[in-house]
Amino acid sequence: MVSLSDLPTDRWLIFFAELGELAVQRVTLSGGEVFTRPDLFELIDAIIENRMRYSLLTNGTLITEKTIVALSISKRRLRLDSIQVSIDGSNADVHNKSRPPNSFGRAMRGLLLLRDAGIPVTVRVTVNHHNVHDLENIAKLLLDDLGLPGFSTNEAEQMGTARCTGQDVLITEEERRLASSTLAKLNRRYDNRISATAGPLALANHFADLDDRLARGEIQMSGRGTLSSCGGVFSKMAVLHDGTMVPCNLLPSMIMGKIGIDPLQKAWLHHSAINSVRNLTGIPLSSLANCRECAYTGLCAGGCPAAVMAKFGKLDAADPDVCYRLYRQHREKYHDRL
Amino acid sequence: MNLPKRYQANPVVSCGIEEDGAVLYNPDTDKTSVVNLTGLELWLFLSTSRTADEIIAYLVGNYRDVSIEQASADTKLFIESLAPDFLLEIFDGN
Repeated sequence: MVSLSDLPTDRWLIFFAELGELAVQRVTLSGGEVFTRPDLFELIDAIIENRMRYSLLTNGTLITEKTIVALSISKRRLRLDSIQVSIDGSNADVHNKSRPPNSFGRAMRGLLLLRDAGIPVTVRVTVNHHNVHDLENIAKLLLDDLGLPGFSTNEAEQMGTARCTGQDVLITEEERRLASSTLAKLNRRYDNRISATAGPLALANHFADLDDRLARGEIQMSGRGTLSSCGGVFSKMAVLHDGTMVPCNLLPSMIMGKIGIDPLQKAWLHHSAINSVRNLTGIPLSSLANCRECAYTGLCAGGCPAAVMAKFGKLDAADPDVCYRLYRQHREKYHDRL
Repeated sequence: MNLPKRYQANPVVSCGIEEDGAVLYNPDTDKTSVVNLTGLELWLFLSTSRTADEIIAYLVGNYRDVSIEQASADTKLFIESLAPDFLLEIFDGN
């Protein structure tokens, strides 16, 4: 089923041809849920036809044996970078609290079908209020029981799914500390098979790195000292289900135009919305009221602009949830060194 | 008689043209190569299959200060840098 505001097939096909003309290399299809689109493989074939590779983000519930067969046709498998399945709990009780009702069993079935077919499948665990005490079991399920090479983690934010499922998925400051500590320990136990570019584990790794640098007497790092956290907008952008171009899917209010109406290249190169995120790298942390007195600005990059936007309604601020100074002030609350 | 090998731009490869050259990308192998403006010109020249001698002749004919020796070396380097990642297709002359 395609919702009323989803672009129809032909509009996406025209857009993928535009991407091909611009020599774009990769497309990630996400949702909602990509497998609800009956034209999904037509879209994938258009991506392939236009000389690109692709990835899929899915909740896994609609993946069947037919999906595996369909993925093996022509170059669909060759051009596939990965299929990422969201697993948010080690059992149905936990997983289903932040995912569609009764979805755990179907998500696991989809994950196993992909794994057993040798399709490059990855798992994303979004740390939330419901699974923060289940992380050890999740790691055991994915790494020990299923034998996956690894999985990645992030954190439920005041954006994306959390806007639909409500505030009850968001973790508290105390839960973030617990998740950071737990994931850091698990990652050591599992030989770095757990990864993160954002969320509690990324935070734990970041703070541990800063601890080490400060212990060595380092007070500055290359590329830090400004709001430079987000490198994504220099290499990618997002298009929402209705064709709205935005700098990032987590910044849906920063509209850059509509595909098929506004030229992608012009928006990518010149639109003020994406350039305002890129230009954050020129804003020194020392110019921000909350960071002015901080001794660690030379080691800090301010955090995710989308998280900042969700919290403060503007981009030019630092995210207190990733603040090393606050971490140091509250260090005694941590169970041990991360 | 063995005919010389022929070289052609792999049609699955995308060519992102920049101010100072181009980025060639083969999505089948996920390999990328950056070429300068002369490399881009050769890439476009190879939209149909050519022999190494034809490439050399093209360079000598279009660049006044390029010797045959230099063009031969540049052609060899161009082919050797693009062929391993299947950015170029190579056809047996026979």
